[in-house]
Amino acid sequence: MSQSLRPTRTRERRATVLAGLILLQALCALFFIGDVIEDFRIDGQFDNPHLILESVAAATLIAGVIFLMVELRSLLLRMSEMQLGLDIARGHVAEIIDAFFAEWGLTDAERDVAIMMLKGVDNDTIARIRKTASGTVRAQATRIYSKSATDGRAQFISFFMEELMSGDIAPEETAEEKSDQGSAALPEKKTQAPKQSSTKELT
Amino acid sequence: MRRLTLLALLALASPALAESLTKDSVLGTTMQEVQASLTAMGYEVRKAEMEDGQIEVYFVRDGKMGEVYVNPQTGAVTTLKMK
Amino acid sequence: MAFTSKPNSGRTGARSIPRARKLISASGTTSARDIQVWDPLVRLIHWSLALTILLNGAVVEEESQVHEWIGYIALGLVAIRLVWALIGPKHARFAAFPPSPGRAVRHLRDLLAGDRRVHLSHNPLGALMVYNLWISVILIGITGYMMTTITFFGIDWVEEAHEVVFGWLLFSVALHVAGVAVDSWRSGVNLVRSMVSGRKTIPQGREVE
Repeated sequence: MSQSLRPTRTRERRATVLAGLILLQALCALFFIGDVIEDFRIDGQFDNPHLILESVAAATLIAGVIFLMVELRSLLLRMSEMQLGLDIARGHVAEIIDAFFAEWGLTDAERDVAIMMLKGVDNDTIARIRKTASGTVRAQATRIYSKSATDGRAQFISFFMEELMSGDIAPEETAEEKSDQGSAALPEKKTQAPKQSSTKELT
Repeated sequence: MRRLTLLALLALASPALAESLTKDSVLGTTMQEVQASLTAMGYEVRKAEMEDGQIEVYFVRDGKMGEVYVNPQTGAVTTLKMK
Repeated sequence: MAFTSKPNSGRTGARSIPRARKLISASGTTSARDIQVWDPLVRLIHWSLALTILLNGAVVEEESQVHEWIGYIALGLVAIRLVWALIGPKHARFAAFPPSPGRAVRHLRDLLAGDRRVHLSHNPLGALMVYNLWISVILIGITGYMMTTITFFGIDWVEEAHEVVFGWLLFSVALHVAGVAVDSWRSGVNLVRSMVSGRKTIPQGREVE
């Protein structure tokens, strides 16, 4: 999982604190309940103010625990929904990228290089990862720009940014393409911002 | 004989008059003797065993529980723990 | 259309860039994925319970007040876990790991046949172990409490039960640790780490709830 997108870190910490509070509070509640039970066994009566106070304390703590448990559960649900949204978005992004690469006819090696370029990796580092020469990577990059009709790295990257920020996630589909595949189909024009989207996947 | 029985009966029947177990009590040098002494004093013996070379007895009386450790050589109480 | 790029040979050289391994597969469906399974409360309870068992079993003196308190805390931890299993999130609930010897047997057969599926919550065998552990702790706690009451003070069978069930618990814990080790190895998922961080890193297997 990408470490760069962690808006949930605060939420995770919050969830942990909640859990700790639930635990401590529940143990306190059980302590008071135990005390009440013990005193009741000895006395047999329930009019002792001390006993009443402890019972109220126990009841309040229990109510707090239940409330906090429900809170924690809903917090965890929000976190997982957010993660799911991220995963879906990532899936869509991957589909878009893959679709364009296929249309441009990038080779497997060029695909790998192109991905790393999109991730902001420089040529020398790409060469190191792929265990090839920097010259090879430079040549691959040049072919990528040519096939995608872009002028250079910045324009190559911004091409995808533009696609993703046009408001819809999936590329444009023609009528025939829409009927056979539910997921993203090959885009017709590479420079056109997609207006149609397979919104059923987004919701 | 009759007096002994009467005394024993009294001891069992009226705990208020029964002897109380203290740190200075002498109960006996064997498990049976200790148990018998305690019973005679009105204590209900729950469990008896040897522990760390001492005679250990769990007892109950008047809604109170306790453990007593007795030195088997002297027959005297070494530790008395009320719970 | 997911990514079909093949992982490069010699990718081990990419350790200098932590994310290099993930660079090829942006969609995440052809590489390992992380799934949040164990929430903070489950994890907290698990390790606290383990600690109470360790303390009362090996560290704290048997006939001491501390021993009693730790015992009650253990009982409390199980009680909280049971409530959480009623109203907590998906993976923590009873529904996610029902007590079913039938399912456990089927799971065992699948394992022996080489099944490499991953269960998100406790698998059927693990479920039985979990219920066993909870019930054992409850029995030990109850017999322990009984020993503090006048009715059962010094009564032999209560003390015996307390010790026997504790022995059973120790045996179960050993079995539990072994089971976790075997299942981690079989499924490729680091189960111990998942009970610390909450996340299961699943290789390329399927999931079963």
